[in-house]
Amino acid sequence: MRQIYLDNAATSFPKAPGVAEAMLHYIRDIGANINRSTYAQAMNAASIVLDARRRLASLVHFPGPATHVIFTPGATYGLNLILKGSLKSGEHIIVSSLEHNAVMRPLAELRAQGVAVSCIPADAEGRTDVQVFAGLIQPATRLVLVSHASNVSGNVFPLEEIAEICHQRNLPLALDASQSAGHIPIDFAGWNLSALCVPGHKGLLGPQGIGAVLLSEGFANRLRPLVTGGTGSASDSEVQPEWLPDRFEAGTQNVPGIFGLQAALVYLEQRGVRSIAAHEALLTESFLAGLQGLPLRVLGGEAMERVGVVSLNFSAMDNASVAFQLEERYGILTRCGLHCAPAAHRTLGSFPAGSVRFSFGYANTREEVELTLQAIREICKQREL
Amino acid sequence: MPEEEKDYYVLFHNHTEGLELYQYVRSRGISVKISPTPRVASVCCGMSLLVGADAIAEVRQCIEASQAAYDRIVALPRQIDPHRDKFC
Repeated sequence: MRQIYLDNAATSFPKAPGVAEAMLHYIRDIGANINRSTYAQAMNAASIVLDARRRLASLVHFPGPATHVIFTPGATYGLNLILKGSLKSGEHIIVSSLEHNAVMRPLAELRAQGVAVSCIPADAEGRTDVQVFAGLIQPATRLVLVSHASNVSGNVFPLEEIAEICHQRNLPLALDASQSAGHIPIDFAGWNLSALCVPGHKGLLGPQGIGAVLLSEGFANRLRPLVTGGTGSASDSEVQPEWLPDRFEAGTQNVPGIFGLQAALVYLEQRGVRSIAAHEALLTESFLAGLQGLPLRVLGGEAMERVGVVSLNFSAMDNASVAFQLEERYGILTRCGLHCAPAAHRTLGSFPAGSVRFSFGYANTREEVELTLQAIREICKQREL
Repeated sequence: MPEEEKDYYVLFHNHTEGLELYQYVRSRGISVKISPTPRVASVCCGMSLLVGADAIAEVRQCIEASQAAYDRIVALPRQIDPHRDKFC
């Protein structure tokens, strides 16, 4: 049976052309570590790693130096670094109401240590009340962190309004771009961000196990590393170096992963994020239009700005049963459940039933959307019989 | 020490800084080499750029123009006889 992959919010598939080849090239032909020795193979590897930092910086309009593009094992690691490395007891953070557990679980730990947390309210359609945001700011507020796009509803956060307030109040603003990087444009400089977390394996179309945090100079200076260890630099000292990226890149880096990500970034530059955004928006609009009149609820509303993520609640059927039938009968791969985002589902009124999430990517087609709509119609009709 | 008997080493905090300057310098056609940092210059096990006396002024200009991050520049007696093995 033909398979239709609609789980790009979990991880993109297929990966960008050239990713697998780049990783194989490193493993098979290079193999040398970076930041340690200076022989040609090591420096060839290092030049690809530096190129990946530069390309990522360019993609998100990061104004800082390449040294401030920090590679991490993924966005979750980066978010933990930002949260645990910058907040301490007695301080306060503001987050959105649609956060993933990559934010909420570290915050639960920090709460237990005396960090106060406020959520910017949102209604059941996922609309954030920006007016309330300014009133949440306290003297102890040290950070505002928001998810750029919800991994449940796909709703895009009204970032520019929040960014303007943060700028006026001199508050660091960190962005979780797990569902937006590579899908829609990101403007680190324009939004005056202090930190940006991205996974390499979602919209950036690279492999799993690699991600990045991009840090402004001021925010980097106050950030404590989560992990310390060897960096290949200042080896005479048993204290972690202060300079970047070494301060936050202890231990041997995931060089195969960075090679794969670099190849993906080359592809994204050639294809263009705006082009991908337009393609995915077209698919999403077609999908939403085709759902009209069916006995289901679209989480987050249908008219709001969103990335290519659509969560459906099949009120008359168990969502798991729908996801199972989609795969079993039609080869359509989706993600059913709470998507590691109970806070978002509570906000959207879909907790604990969750939803069936359809997430589109650069490689999906209009035909695949039509086949999916046909499958959903048949499943809904079968239920009516 | 006569100038022609010196080599210069540009030292960095890490490879990322070093590679950035190396690429900038090479893109301007200036001959430099990546080298392990001489132990006498720093006990840190990083990379450095090995620059001949004839090119050090241009490299300094590159540092200025690109605002490259680096640690420092040291001059050391040339370790390798440039005429070594010439007639072997």
